[in-house]
Amino acid sequence: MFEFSLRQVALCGQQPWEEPGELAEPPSDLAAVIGTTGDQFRDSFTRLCLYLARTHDDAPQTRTDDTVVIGTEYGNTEALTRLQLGAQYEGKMLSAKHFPNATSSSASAFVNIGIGATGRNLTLNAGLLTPVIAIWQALFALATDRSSTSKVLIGDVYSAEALLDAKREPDDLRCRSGLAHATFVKGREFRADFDLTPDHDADAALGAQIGSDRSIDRNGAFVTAEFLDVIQKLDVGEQVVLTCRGPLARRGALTVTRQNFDTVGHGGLGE
Amino acid sequence: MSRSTRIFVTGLGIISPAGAGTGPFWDDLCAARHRFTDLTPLYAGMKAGALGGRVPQEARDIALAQVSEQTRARPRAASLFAEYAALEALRDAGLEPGDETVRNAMVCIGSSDGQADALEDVVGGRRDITETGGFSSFSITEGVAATIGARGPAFTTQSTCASANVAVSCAIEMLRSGIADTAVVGGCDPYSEKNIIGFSSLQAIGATRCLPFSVNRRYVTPSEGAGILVLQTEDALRPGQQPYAEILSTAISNDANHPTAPDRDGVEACHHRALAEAGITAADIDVIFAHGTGSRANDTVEGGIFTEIYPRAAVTAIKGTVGHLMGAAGAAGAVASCLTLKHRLVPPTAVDAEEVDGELNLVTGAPLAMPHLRYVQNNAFGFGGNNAISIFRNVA
Repeated sequence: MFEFSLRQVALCGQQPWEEPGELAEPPSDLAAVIGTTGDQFRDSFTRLCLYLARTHDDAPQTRTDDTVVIGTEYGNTEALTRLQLGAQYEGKMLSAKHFPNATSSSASAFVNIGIGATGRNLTLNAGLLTPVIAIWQALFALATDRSSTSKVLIGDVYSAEALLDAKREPDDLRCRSGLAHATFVKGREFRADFDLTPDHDADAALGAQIGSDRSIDRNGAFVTAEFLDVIQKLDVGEQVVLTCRGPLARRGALTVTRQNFDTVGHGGLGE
Repeated sequence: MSRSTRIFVTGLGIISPAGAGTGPFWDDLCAARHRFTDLTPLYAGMKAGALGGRVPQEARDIALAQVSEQTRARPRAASLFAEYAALEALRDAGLEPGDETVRNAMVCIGSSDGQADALEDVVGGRRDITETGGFSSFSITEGVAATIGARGPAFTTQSTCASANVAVSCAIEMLRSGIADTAVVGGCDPYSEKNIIGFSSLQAIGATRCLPFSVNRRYVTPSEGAGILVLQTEDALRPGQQPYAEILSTAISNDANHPTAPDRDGVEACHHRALAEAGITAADIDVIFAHGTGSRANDTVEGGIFTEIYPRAAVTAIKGTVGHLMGAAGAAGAVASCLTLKHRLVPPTAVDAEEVDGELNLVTGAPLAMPHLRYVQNNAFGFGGNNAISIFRNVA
């Protein structure tokens, strides 16, 4: 059981009718917020992570001990691909600036640098259970006093190769790009109970659901943002359950109960 | 959750350029025997003669005979290595795939390059996605969990070359929170074209092998493989079971400073965090398995910290022997740490004593016997300011 308060939730994603891939309408202030330097090297996933981390929370004035957890299935695949192809086509002219942008945790690196977070940080992939596991990590860091603020970024921006891979899976889930960003802080507004035991329902559909409403998106960004929006509307004593199911009976359930509306204990930046 | 829950290492498994298993790994470490080979240039900007470490074909064949049917059918290197090492670690812990203890275990594998061969074959047009078996990094952990019959939480961590130690930290947290009492955890990384291209573009690989903490150091020697540990809480130990070590802490931090260069203050902060979480001081540490990449920047930062803060500790670096296993580097160091605690013997760094940079207390030449060994520290750092340090305690 963990206790926490929620400082903000944001979502940046494709509309349901868009073809999966790049966002047709990226945030209008994207370039103003994160600049354009290095855009030939950094991919859309890194750009969007950095944008959300910088815009949907107060800008830090100093380095913090914040925890940063990025939950993603395909992360920086686009940049990895770009480096491989860059070597093929640019040969001796290949820039050394590709590589730092083309690791599987480049987005995490640039977010940590971008917001000055020196605390615990990790990029994790739990398949369809990624939202629940990422939030568990974020809340554990608060519960153990490792950080007073935990930032979570969950989602994917699907490159062509990522789409090929995701569509191999034997499910009927839709792929659309999007990223959710949330800031959890120490506090007592909510209680979180996790159940990570295997599924007893052999026929349960794969993917995520809030209560009994099943999401048709593979990308955990959308259900995460919706779930965190729902918990903010709960009255004291009410609860809601996010359940994520993957192959081989893997299941993660997060029950959040509203305890109060007290915002005392919200961690400020730099705490 | 209980911060006081004690966690023990009960099983080890590894596959590396030394071969399949902890036996050949330990033998090569103690003999400082390296088996590096020339890497084939991958693009016009890469010079011939750069050295790398590869898992030998004989070791791959041994692994292939043991892993899951799915991996035998489509042998992606990361899965091949991780599944083999997990099975070895399980046997070493006296466990069987699918038995009750293992069924409830959590699995967490760290990897930087993941299923690189699958993705690179798709990008290069050499195989289609179906032939490769897919490249999501989660498939590595999912495959290990399926192979050993574990149904507990499973996920992959990706924190460049600190990935395996980050996985260990995540496992410790889940064990201490009571979600599981057994964890199969570690790291793996395959030879990755993208990675070799990247290091080449930084002029960080070359014809001179990795010489950790040497005044003559110049290059990183990329390598591949997997290392896995079985972690168990005190309650999960069998009566009379003799673990390799107790793991006291694995601290994670980020420099938040530079995409590739290590930051002295950030790296030092992670050392202090690891010691604080372990409840000991730097003076207690007997042996440090350094990250020791052989690069100018890393070894200068680490060497400075060791000399100033840990003047008593014996330091060793295994990348001069088995190379840099990238996301599995921390796992190789963890396996070596546990074997050091078992044998009370510190394997040497593969450099000459005369070329050691500064006043560092680096173990060179013959293995160093330490009959009264208590605490061993294992460092792993990576691009992106990733730092992760584990501390093990002797329980013999």
